[in-house]
Amino acid sequence: MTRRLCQANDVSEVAILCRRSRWGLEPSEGAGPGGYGERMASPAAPLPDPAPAPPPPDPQAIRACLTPALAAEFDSEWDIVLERAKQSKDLAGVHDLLNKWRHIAYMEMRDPGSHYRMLAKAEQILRTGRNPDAAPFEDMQALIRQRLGR
Amino acid sequence: MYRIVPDTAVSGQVAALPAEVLAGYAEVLKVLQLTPWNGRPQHPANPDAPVRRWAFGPGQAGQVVYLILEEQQEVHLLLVQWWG
Repeated sequence: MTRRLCQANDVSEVAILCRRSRWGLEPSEGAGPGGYGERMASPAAPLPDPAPAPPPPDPQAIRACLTPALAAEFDSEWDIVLERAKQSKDLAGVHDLLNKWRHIAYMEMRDPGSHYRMLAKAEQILRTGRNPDAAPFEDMQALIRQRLGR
Repeated sequence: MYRIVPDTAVSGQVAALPAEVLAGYAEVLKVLQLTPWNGRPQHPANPDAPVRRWAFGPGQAGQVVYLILEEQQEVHLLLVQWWG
């Protein structure tokens, strides 16, 4: 899937590959003549792609990898940053937005729904003032030091 | 100085980072303890929102998404992602 996404010839091909990946419709090894095997039987439960590639930094390619709801959000933000770029003659905001949405597309391909779950977690922390699933920062620092050999 | 509060899921995400980008991620953590508001807002229509992001690594293939609780001087790490 990763190589195929990178080698897609045009945006429509990227879209097909992204959607197949999101809904678990990529032909699986050992599948029957139809090529889709058991994965096609459960379109309501999207299967994550364990090794996706992010879409290229192109608005149409990114959009093609998003759900309709996320694509609508992308469109809204795209309009905002384009208008700012027109005024400022500075494309930094456009590049930043493309990077952000490439990350969201990548995240959603690996774990569908994870973007909204992350935002829900942020809202919960903001509302309650605490994260019930917090981990000690010291443990993370120790892990980094250990891996860096410091 | 802001206190960093990782989500449990973030600990696993950091453990999965390649060794060659760990130093860059550690630098981001240092910055977040001092000037977390310098990160880009998560939504361009709300530039003062407390949910922000910081890209790192070659090609900005890494990102940290976090929430600032200003009154508590805390930075809650929500996501660490790397696509390299």
